[in-house]
Amino acid sequence: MKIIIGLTLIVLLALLGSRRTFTKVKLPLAARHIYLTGTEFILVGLCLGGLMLGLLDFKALRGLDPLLHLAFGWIGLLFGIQLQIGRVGHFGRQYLLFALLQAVVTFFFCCLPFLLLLPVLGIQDDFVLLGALTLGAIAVPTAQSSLAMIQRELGLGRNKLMEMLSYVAGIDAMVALVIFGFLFCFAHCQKLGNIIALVNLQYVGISIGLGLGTGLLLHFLTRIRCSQEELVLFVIGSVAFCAGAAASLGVSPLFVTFLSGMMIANLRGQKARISRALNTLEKPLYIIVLIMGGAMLGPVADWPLVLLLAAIYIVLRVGGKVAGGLLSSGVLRSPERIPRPVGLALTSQGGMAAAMVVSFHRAFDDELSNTILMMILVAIVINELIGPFLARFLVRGAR
Amino acid sequence: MVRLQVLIFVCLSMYLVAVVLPDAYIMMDAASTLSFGFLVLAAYLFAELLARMKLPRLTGYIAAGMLFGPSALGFLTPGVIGDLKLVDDLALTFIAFAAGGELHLDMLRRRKRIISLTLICQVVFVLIGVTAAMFLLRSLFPLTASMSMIQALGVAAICGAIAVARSPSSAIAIISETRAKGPFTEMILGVTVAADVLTIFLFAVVLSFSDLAISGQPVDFTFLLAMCGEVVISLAVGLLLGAGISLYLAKVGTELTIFILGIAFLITQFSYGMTSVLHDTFAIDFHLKPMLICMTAGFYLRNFSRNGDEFIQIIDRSSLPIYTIFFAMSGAALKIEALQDTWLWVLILVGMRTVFVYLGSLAGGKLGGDSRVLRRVSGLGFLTQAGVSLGLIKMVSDRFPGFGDELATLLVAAVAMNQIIGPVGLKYALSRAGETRESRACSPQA
Repeated sequence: MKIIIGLTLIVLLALLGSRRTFTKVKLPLAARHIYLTGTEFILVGLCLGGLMLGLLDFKALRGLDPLLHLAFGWIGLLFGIQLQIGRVGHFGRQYLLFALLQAVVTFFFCCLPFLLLLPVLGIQDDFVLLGALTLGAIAVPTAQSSLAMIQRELGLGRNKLMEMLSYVAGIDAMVALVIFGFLFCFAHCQKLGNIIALVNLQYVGISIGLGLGTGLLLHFLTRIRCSQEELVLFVIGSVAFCAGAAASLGVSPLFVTFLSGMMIANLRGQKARISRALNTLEKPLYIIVLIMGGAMLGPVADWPLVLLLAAIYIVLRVGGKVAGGLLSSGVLRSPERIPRPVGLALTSQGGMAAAMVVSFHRAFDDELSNTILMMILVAIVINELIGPFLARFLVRGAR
Repeated sequence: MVRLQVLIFVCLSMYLVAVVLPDAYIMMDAASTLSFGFLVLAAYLFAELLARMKLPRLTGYIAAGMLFGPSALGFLTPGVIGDLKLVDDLALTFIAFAAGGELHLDMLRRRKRIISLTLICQVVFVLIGVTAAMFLLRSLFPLTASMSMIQALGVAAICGAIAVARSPSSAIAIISETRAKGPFTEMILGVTVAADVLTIFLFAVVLSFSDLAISGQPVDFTFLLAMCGEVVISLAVGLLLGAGISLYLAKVGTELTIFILGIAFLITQFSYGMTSVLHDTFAIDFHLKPMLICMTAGFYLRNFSRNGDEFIQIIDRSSLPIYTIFFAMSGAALKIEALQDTWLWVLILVGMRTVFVYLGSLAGGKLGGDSRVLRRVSGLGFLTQAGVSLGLIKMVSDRFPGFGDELATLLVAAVAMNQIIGPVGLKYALSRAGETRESRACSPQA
């Protein structure tokens, strides 16, 4: 019976949702923010998951593990492959520093307060730092999809400000992934109960070796002439192998495949074809992550308190983004095209944040990760709701 | 050469992670993704090597699965194979959609005479031939040596009925790999699909008779009805599904990849869920057939939906990784050790099946007016066996606790062997018929 309800729900959502989402039917603004950014799939996952219908129960989620890890790897590779070293600073050094500083400020803005707040939930001392670092790292990325939506809506085809915002969002993701990768390495020390630098370094080495090794593997596989079908097979195989090895060895699949992507981006090979192949499945895999993220959410005992912490997190994140923008533009003598409250346009928190939190939950799968999953999913939905308003406000002001 | 080096590198990496590293370093619950990625790469690269020896890639995938699976190198553990069952099921539904989508109504109408004659001849020859041969050899066959004549006939009939089953998934994979097209290819696919459906009915009848012969129980008409019901309801669900997908394509038409994946997931879950609910609540053994449901839906989309071609094209575009993982998994799941004790009888069974399939095709081709060349090779195109037969064998094992397991081991080993030689035969037959892309390119008309 649950399956029939689930099937009906999916078909209904698909028919109603997709038709409205992808056609030009005008929806109320707030609803459009949810629909057009794909956030509704978190709610679909929530309906299908253990908390409601139970269609995507623990066993089914474990069965779909290869797909989920494939999605993590795909997303990591996709970000990495865009990162040609020579092009990272194409906006100029000042902009790069601005983006980096803004990201770091946001990270600390969300991480430090939670060192004090997480113990309220009864989280053991050993895990408070891990939780706070995770919340900080996940606060950094900015959703490209909502920037693209605003660009489309306001008809800002080749607007310099939008290009710069998109560039900052790209750097955000890079910073977030690097922090996230190191965080996984740090987690091993947590498990061991004391911080031993060598253990840390060992996992850092595994991450880097695995990432660069897979990058080389994919490079060699695709260097010889191969059909598009073969190329897709090589990408799927390499990404799943790398993400699976990363997850098995307890390092971050997102970070490791990000490194693989960087490796490919900076070698002379088939990067354009690989990038095109990655783009074809990007959206479906994001949707899988969002649905499975919603479905993974387990019961949270102290949910009113968690919701309160989620609200605090949202405020801190918006504050961090704004403060990061103000501070960076102040310290670096604001590059002329950047409005000072630029952080307002960077508050949407989309797919990358979802991928990070789902990856964290999949790797640690305990009370802490469930609490963080709930907080972040709530934050994503709310940020997708308010982010585009704030961004629109900033962009209109700048015009 | 580069790919061989990459294959070695991948194998060494897998060996390092899965075998050498101590368990303390490995989080086993993520091992399924690692194995999935490894299997996709290693099976494809291994199959590439075998393809240079003119062997079908499909055989390479299966061989790679066997080599890296629990029975040989042990890179994949039985636990991982269990974890990947859902991925395997999803792949099977994709293949079933593709197989159904290959069946054109116009073609079936045009070729109905040869398809039906070949089907009838094959069923008659294989069912009666294998049954008779096993019956005649009953005193030599350890399982039936101590049975009465009527009991031995029951066991022989089960072997005969199982021998009729084919493997549409293998057939469609070989057709896709060789890009074969033409009347012979259409006939092979038509007969293979029809034989698989017919086997379910035949098996129901034979099993009821065998029950009577072996256990002395009266013919179980409920069982017969249930088996017929399974096929009819699966066909009906397939038609409904096809109509639903067609509606989605017409009204929405976006997010097709995720939609197909969702549908495949729901069909497998729905089929298993229904089986378990009916068993737990009403004590009824009723198995919906996901493969048949998806094949019917694919058939509907190809022939009765305006937008169906788009759907089938998406399935076709994603076919390579799906075939690779599905057949490599099939290879990994094969229990090679079962051959150790039964190899002689496996060879006899496979040999008899091959002979009667060949004779059946020869007779069907002659009656249907096929050319001499096609008549001679068509028998080789029907040797593949998997899927349905494995499900039916499991029923034998459940139904006859005394000797069922032993018979099932023998039959599974025979299916495994047919799964290996079948694709080679089919590729050869398609090539001799001049319908593969390669042979079309070499033909004087090209």
